[in-house]
Amino acid sequence: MKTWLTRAWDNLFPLPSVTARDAFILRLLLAVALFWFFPPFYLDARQPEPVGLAHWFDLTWISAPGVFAIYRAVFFFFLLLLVSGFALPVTLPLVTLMHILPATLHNSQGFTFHGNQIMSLTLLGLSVMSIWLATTRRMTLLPKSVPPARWALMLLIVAALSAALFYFEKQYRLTGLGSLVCASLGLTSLSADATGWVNLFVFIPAFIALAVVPSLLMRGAESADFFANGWFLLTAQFVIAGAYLISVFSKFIRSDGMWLFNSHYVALDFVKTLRQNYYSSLDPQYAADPPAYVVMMMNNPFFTAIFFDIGVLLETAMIFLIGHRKWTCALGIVLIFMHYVIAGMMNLFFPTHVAMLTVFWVLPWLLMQRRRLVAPWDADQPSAK
Amino acid sequence: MLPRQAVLLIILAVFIAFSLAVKENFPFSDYPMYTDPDPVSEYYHVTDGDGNPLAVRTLTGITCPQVGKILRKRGDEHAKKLGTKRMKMPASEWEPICRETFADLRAKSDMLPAKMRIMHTTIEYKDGRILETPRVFFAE
Repeated sequence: MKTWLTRAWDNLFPLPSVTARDAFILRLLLAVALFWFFPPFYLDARQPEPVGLAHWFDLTWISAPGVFAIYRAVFFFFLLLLVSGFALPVTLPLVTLMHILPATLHNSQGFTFHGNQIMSLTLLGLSVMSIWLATTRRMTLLPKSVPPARWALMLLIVAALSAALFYFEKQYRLTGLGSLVCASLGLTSLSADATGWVNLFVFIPAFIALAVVPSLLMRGAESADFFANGWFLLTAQFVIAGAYLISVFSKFIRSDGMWLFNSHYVALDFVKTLRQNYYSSLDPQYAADPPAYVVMMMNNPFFTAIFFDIGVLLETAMIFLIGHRKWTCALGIVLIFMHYVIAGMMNLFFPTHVAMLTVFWVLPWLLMQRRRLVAPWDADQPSAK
Repeated sequence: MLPRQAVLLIILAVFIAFSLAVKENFPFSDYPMYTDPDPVSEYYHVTDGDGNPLAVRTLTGITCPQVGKILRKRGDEHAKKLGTKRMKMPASEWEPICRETFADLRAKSDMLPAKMRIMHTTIEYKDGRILETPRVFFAE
């Protein structure tokens, strides 16, 4: 027993080995996700029920006419810097602040949207980690190993790209590029869902193409390489697992410890969600009788409770698997599947959670497999846990 | 010097305790959704003065669940001041909350009718079927 506990303790939160290339890919995909989910416009002109920073600051300036388009372009500017790895202990906190402010204003309308926390918290964790690493390792902000002319050119390119984004968004929304592609190919009969997927498949390579150019100029910069250590990945996984674990604690506290035994009643909320979807926009697709599976679930409370309890078990297990790529990949896939099952049953989907799980839980193991496949031709990469 | 595991466990405990304490203060949250499964589920929706449902999201940008969240949040805060529970508050205490919520909806849209209602529906499982019971919660 003692040996088992010692082994378990030793295997808790191992620091994964991450190469500079993997760290770049993770930063790139993080930026892709952040910009994809960043709102294209903003309408909340008041903050009647302030939360977070809105307790102390009036954030309504964000939704003033013309301001958010500039705000979005500046956010894009810092995202490109984040991908390039330029002055990360400064860039990351600025990206974090810019991500938190509009979401805080949105949640100050009297209701809470739970889709942004996972991204803001991950950014917050990475910011704290970057400042801590920069302080303890006495890092210089500007890269010494890259000639000033090169990073100055990089800054110019990033500024030009942001200005171009600002200009083109006045003509066509960047997230609407897929619609433009559909129209130009004559695919006008596609459903909204299909157009959304086309949007995504156009957006991702477009963003990557823009972000790679300045990043190439920063190649070899130590400010980027210092993130090529396990703390970057460990922190992101830790924050994501922590957020899921908070919801587990909430379930036990608010239900007086009875959640596992009463969880079958969650099936009733499927009907609630169906009705709420209908009454939001009177969409006839939701004007249906309660699904047969809800009645079946309520007829079998024991098995229904086990079904929901497995979800809580998975959320709890996350914290113990941090740093173990194979296991985070496996659990990440299962959790993503869980989110899609919930979406299918309740029409309640958290795409930002799926994105964060994909980037920081699933992808690291796949990157390691890629390294193993190309190892004979890529001998400079260190081994990874 | 504490081992890495101990440091991270302490940080985790602080992160969880802080989030549970500050509740909904972005970016922190205690994620209260579906935390207390109950034999009776409930939701609110908005109708015109004659009881015809209004497409509140289409008209105001505020969804039906968001209307419910606003009412529950304001109801909880008001009930706390009165030293009682939201569900036990008399209708007279709900009136200013509902009027304020309607004012917020009207600030978002000028297409809402002069008279509106908030409907409250309970959902429960009885005798092998799902039972939904709507009632007028507040009417202008």
